[in-house]
Amino acid sequence: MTETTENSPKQYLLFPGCVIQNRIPFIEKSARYIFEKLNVSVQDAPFGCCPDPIGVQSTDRQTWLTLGARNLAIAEETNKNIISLCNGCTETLKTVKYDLAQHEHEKEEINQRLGKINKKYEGTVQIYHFVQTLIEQVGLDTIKKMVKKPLTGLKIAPHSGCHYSRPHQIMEWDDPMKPKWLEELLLTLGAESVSYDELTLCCGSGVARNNPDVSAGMMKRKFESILNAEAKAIAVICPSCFQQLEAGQRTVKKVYNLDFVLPVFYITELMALAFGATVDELGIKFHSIKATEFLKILGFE
Amino acid sequence: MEEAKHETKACQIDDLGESDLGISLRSCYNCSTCTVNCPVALETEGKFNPRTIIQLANCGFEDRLISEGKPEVWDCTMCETCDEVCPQNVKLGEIFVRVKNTAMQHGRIPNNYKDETLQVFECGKAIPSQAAIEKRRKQLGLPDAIAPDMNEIHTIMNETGVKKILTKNDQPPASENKTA
Repeated sequence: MTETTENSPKQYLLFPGCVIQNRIPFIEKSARYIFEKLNVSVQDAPFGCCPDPIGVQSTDRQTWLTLGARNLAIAEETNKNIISLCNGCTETLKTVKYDLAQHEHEKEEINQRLGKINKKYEGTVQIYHFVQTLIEQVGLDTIKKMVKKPLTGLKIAPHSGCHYSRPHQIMEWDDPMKPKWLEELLLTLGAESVSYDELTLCCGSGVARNNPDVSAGMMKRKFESILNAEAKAIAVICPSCFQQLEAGQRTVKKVYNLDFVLPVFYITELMALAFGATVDELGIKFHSIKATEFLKILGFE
Repeated sequence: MEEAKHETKACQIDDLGESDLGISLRSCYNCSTCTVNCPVALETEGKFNPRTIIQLANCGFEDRLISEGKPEVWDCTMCETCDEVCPQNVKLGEIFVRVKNTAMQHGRIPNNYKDETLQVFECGKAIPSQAAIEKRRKQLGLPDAIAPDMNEIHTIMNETGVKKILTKNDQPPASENKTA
């Protein structure tokens, strides 16, 4: 693994975020599994909420920025860069860093608040979505060498999610309107990445809480596009998308009478399986859209 | 800064002046690229229309967005597509956030947003831990999740004033001081 970041740390702070940590921890399991196999050394980040770029930012941006800056200040104390397992957490922390670099007065104001808890934000730490770490720090060649059981025959639709690469000015990673690295990872594992019309359509998680009908309509469009392209499953890199695309299958069945089953996988789960992990040790039985039978057909037990 | 006090201005987008957000707002030339690409505009057949929100903001009618919810700015799914496709680099996402923040200050905030932020105040995270999940983490061989320092979270959320604003209408006036 090369070390080209500002602080040249040997170890990263791992930030799973509260959705993974406290709702779907099997994703964290698969992430830790592949990091170990790929010699990415991690230590747990003692952060609070990132906080949520939709709920908390919409409520009060100043609270959002300050709580985010607190997490970054904690990271700075450890002199380690951050790997995030969640699109939303990545976007929050990157936006805080971007915003406070652009606006000195805001940085001062936020540091005044942080001063009350004896913390100071400088802006020295780097934040990486885990896909960026896998591509830049590990590399597809190294990942390919680790594949013991290729995902041959798996036709899968990639869904990167919005906050992974938008807005590009802040995220500075992958293509904002046609992200490619999730697809590259799938191909590296030997799967067939299916292209579909609604590749960049939002999963609708952000509007679900305020307008469930709109959210259901967006998911219908997304699922129909995926089914038309004959994909048999979906690969994601964001826990909100994961939950939305699993729960959304029940919603769409109820609202539109559309009946189908599309197992949803985190890319880290697919990587771990390809690296030789068992379905059981990864806790894949805890998916709401049952995936164990589906994997059995592909030869994974 | 005045807006941190949450009291003085009718709307956080009233006085953006020559800030980059203010310049970006005034740069809109009404081309509708945002609306054409907005997934919520498509689903609602234009009832939610990002261009209209920017127009109203530019013409001094942002109070309609705040008091009437026309269009309903809380319906934005925050996919950031509009920010990305706008040829004038209007920061629509952040402008909508400022409108929502102002609506919050006037008590017009959907309950689930309010509850989520108060959840962060209660336990430091938007999604709290649960006994069943803690058990599952152990089953999977995962370490316990680290709990954040709640005193620090409380101090920050009291400093920004968000806790007080979110709870002020919930309680009879006599008990208001308890949370201050």
